[in-house]
Amino acid sequence: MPLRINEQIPAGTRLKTVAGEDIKVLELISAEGGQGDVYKVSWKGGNYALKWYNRDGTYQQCTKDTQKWGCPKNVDQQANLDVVGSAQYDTICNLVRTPNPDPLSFKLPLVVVTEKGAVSKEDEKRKEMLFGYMMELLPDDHFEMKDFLRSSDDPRQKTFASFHAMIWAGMNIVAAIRTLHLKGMSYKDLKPDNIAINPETGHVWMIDCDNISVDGKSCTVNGTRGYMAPEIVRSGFRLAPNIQSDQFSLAIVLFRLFYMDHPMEGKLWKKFPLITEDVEDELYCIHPIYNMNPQDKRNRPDKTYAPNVERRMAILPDVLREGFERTFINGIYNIHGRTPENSWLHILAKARDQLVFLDPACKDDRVVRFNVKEKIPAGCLRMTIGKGGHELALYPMQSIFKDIISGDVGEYNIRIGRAGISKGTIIIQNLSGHPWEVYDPVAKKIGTVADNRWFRVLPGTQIQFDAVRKVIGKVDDPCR
Amino acid sequence: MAEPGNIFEDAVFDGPIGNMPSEGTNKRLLTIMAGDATKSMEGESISQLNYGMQELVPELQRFASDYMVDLDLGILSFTNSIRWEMEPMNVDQCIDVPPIHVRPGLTQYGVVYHELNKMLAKDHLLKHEGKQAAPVIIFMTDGAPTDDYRRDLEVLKKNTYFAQANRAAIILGEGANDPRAHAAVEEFVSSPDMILTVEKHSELVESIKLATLRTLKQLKECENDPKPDLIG
Repeated sequence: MPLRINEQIPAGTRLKTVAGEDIKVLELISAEGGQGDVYKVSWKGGNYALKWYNRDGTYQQCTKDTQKWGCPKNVDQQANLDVVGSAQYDTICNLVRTPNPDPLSFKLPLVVVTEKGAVSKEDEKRKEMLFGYMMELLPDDHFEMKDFLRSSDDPRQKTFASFHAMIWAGMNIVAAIRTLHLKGMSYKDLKPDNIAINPETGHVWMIDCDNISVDGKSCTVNGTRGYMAPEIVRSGFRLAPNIQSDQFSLAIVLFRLFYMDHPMEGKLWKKFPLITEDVEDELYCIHPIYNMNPQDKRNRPDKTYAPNVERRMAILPDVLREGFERTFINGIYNIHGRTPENSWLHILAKARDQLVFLDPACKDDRVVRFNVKEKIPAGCLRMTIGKGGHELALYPMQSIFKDIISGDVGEYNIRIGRAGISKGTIIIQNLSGHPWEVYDPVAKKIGTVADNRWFRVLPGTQIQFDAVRKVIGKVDDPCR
Repeated sequence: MAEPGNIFEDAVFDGPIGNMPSEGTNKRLLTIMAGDATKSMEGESISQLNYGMQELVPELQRFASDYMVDLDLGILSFTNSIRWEMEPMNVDQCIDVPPIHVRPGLTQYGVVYHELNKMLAKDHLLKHEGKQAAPVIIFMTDGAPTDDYRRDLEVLKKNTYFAQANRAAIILGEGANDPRAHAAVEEFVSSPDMILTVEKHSELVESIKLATLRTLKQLKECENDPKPDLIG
């Protein structure tokens, strides 16, 4: 019996790839998607995920006839058919042919699946045809970012194991989106549902990648309310999502990753007894007011509408606020005024280097605020690197990453040094593969530290990481 | 409320991020099921309607969790009188759903409309601090009204909360083929597409779930609208 729109696929159903290979549907994984359901399937002896497009925005009566069940506002029938028909089909076919911009971050479509296999371009029924695509299954240790936004009393809540994992998740999301943008493509529907995070490590998988396409090309989505860029709503949904709208969505995603609340939700929302689509469009996009805007207090967070942001901002590195203010104040009307990914990686690297682990097992960590001296862990030193004055909290278990030396934000995850402790003194190991020149303030001598060698670090120590670029790190005691 | 610049001194939490309490800001979503309790419902109709609502609750609980909404469910029955079988309560706290029992009285839509107009107010069912989605109302009947409901309906239509509500209906049994029932129910629902007709009793349980979940999901799926036209 042919599969129908808005109906789930029974377990055991056999489908085919367009190359004619057999696929068996094992079980439903999720029916939450706006465009379709996700199933676990078997293919070529392995298990995969199948996204099956079965939504058309209208709901056919399953019991009797073809009576329709409500068409969402602003959606016409032709557009609905296009979601499950040719436009999305073409997007998926293109994605299957496109090399994965970052196979360690994106779960891209692997192969197109239909009920009967191959589909010719001339097939007249193509527009009405149901189809889907296969992708790798998500590992069990990754969870949708949405679950990190749940309240403490929600049993499905996921929390980060450490501040490190949280900041790394932010960096990994930004780096993934940057990789995509560098290839001239845009994501187009960036939101927490499309990101899966490992709460221990901060590793990220970008999932639901089926709207990715070359920037400026047509697509079948506008984005999702709450994450859509203002210009899309203001255009009456005529503008297509692009790199700049991705940058707006990215800032919202990061804001929620760190502070949970939505940046445009605040006390202004009290004026609206019902939050309808029109109200959301108004408050998220047409006249949005950033709730932490230092110059505009009208939409400040309160206990009802944004109960977490102030408490979290108080403990997370202040530097994060720079990126949000740029996007949510300058970037509301000026789409080119939004924080680009390389700036985010600079900002997040500063945040990363303010974190220290308090135990050798790297379980318990804190943010070091050098301006709050009484909260600085005893013995913690500060290293100020380069002309930009990048500050790194030096404490046992700390790592030094290459991006702050090379200036290449893409090297944010390459470790070139690490700190330890010996006889009550902080020591650093050179892992850069190159020798460093180190000034010892006690011996008052400059010596060479070869790769893999450890050396002690005291206030007054200076390290020349890069002889050509003359990048120097100067160590001091922040409590003095 | 402290302003940025000085709020940070108020911070008291100083532990690991995983221990930091998080408060939710879920939208509240009021869902009202209004079921016909006249004698014509006796037998399979009412027992399946009750069974359908019982099966609906765990699905609503799952829906609320998946879509991160605080869903309050209320059930009222009507003849020529109104009875709240279950006052709106958080669906997670619904342990058992009180059954609707048929009772004497004629099918009068006007009493439902009057009650809805009274209760869909900021000081009654819509009393809530925080974000609140437009309510969802599912109307279930097996026959045409015997009363002149129009005056109550006209008043109800001026109620802002009702006007914004997502309203669906199920017409079951003999009412499914009654054009008068269709015409009357059509005046209640958000659009004619929102009427589900169920001739066979065996389909009622699934229809209740379909009507309710589809109406709820429609709210969520609108957040991810396909665009009216493709931009090349």
